[in-house]
Amino acid sequence: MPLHFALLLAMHVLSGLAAVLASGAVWLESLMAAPRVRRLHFFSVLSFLGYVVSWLSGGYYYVKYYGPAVKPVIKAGSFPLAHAIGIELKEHVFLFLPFLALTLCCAVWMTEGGKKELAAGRKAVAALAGTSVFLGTLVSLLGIAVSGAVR
Amino acid sequence: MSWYPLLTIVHIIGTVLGVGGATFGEVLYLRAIQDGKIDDVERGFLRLTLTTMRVGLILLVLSGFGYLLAFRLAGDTMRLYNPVFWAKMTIILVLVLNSFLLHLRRIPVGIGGALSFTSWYAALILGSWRGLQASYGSILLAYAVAAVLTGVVLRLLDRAARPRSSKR
Repeated sequence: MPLHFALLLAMHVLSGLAAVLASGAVWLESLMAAPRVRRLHFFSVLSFLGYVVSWLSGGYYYVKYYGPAVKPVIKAGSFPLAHAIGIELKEHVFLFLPFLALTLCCAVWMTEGGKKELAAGRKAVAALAGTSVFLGTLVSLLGIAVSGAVR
Repeated sequence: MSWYPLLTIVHIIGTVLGVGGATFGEVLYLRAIQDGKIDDVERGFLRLTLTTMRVGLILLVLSGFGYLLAFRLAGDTMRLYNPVFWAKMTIILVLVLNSFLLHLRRIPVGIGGALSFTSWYAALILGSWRGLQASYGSILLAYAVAAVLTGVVLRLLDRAARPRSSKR
């Protein structure tokens, strides 16, 4: 694999991982009795940036290298479903994951005000963050399955 | 340049911190409840072991994904469909989720502690046992049985450690 595509793949994986971990931190913090607002702000922004970098690096890699060089190998190999299901799922979930992270970011930064607003906002933030963690984990596991099919 | 030595070092450090933290967490807890209560100093030590485990888990996850990336880039992708590998990944997911639930106090400490202890040792064993041939289902079944047995043993140790007046 050419070096620049290897670097893009590494960037895709590591920034995605950072985004999922950061979403996890937001989820955890939003469920605490007294969430630390600065941490919520920091990790929500980190999550969004992580997903965007992963999105862009993965997208470029997918179009320029995966399509012509990797997809035919998977489809001709023993696990063609890795592309048919794995990549297709990843593609479609990743269409909206960065926007989900952006929504989470906005929700976290806008959840100010009195205790009542904070309490209501926190539940929504927790639900959103939890969804982001679940989908991010799913996409990561699918990525491993797709990589394993490249033989 | 090979990344494997660095990844191995970080992965081992993560495992050591996690397994060590889980072990000493139980040892310190059993020591702390001998007088029937956990004071502030003891609570501080227990929190420290939790933090150590969390750091270990993060190092483990980061280096683990580093390994996966290295395997992919080296074309060594056969490992990624190994049932032992997927069993280990499942156990790590259980560990992460359990860690969340324990932190948020959404799971009884007795259950969460046993699950944490078993999961760390299971991950260590699966990572170290080269050439293990077992199905995904059989590994998880053994893990579930081990978790239940660990819970029972820790509960018995807990009762034995407490002062006579607080035993039921």
